[in-house]
Amino acid sequence: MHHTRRGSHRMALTKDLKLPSNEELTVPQEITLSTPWLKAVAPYMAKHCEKEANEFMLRRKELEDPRAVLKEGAALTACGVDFLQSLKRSCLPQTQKLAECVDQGSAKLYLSKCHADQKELDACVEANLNLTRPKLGYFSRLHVHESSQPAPQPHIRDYKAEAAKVLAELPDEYHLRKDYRKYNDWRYNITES
Amino acid sequence: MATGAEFRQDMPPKGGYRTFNWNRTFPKLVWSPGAVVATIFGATAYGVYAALENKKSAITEKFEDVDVNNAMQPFLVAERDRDWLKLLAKNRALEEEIMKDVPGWKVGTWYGEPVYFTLGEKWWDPSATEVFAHSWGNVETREHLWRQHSEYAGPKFYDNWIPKSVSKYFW
Repeated sequence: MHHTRRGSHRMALTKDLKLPSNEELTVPQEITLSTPWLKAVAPYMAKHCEKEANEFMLRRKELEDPRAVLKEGAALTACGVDFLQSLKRSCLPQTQKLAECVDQGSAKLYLSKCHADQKELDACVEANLNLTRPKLGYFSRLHVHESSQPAPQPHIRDYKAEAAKVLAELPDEYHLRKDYRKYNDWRYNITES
Repeated sequence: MATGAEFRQDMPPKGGYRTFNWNRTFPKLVWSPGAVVATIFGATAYGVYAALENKKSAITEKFEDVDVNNAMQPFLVAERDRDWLKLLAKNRALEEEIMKDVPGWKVGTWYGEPVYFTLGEKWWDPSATEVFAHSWGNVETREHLWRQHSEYAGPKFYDNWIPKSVSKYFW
């Protein structure tokens, strides 16, 4: 979302732009894990909340609007928090061991040095939470998700007609700029691209 | 000046010089050619095998990390979306507050003239320059462009010589 591309079309935050209120943007509990802990628990958490995560990511991709998927996002975070609480109740020592191994095992926080600890956590999660960690590559594969909501219809806008309407509605003495230049004309010399 | 009495002709040793070996000589054979060739080929083959295995395990190690990142991404995106929208709302409120005394100013426009006429309901993220408009100049370079580290940022040799109250103001 935070692209550095400049000069492309960007929104300006006008008054009539609908932004969600602070209450809508606040969840009871965010997931406040540090990176090693998050890496240690992510496969289990993602598997447990697979439906919520898929729903959120699919809807977000379809609607192309962060405001439209706040409910799905909050549900996903709530599911993650719920799972982490149950994990904390049943497998805290194993999780802590794995997280500390991730923290100190390698400079890039890879899990590859911690397979022994991961196996212990696997066993604990399987015994207590009835959840098997998916095999390596599971989260990199494509998954089919049937959303509860229908996919949005593609909405092709006639920008030329809309622009002509806007121009026609402008007052006659409106100061239309005549000093615009095409993108390539902003070059100072021929070597600039 | 040399005289004839001091002159003595050098002569071969008694019994003559030892016979000279005129035959071609070869160095002592340590390893047979077959062993050398076999060793070189063997070492090369093992090196190629080890390099390929190394590469495979490095790729697997990285892929495992990528897989875990994929697993946590939805959670991070959900949290970041909320944070991002909060920041935008805060920015808009700040602009409204700052410009409230300027006659004719409309938030998000240039005195009522919109930047874009036909955006519609489609969501576009504001540009970074606009988002950081209410921050200090160095905040964008630090937080967004990640240019906070102009040089080595770790502990320095002079850390113990300069009091903390002073050194916190420079690298």
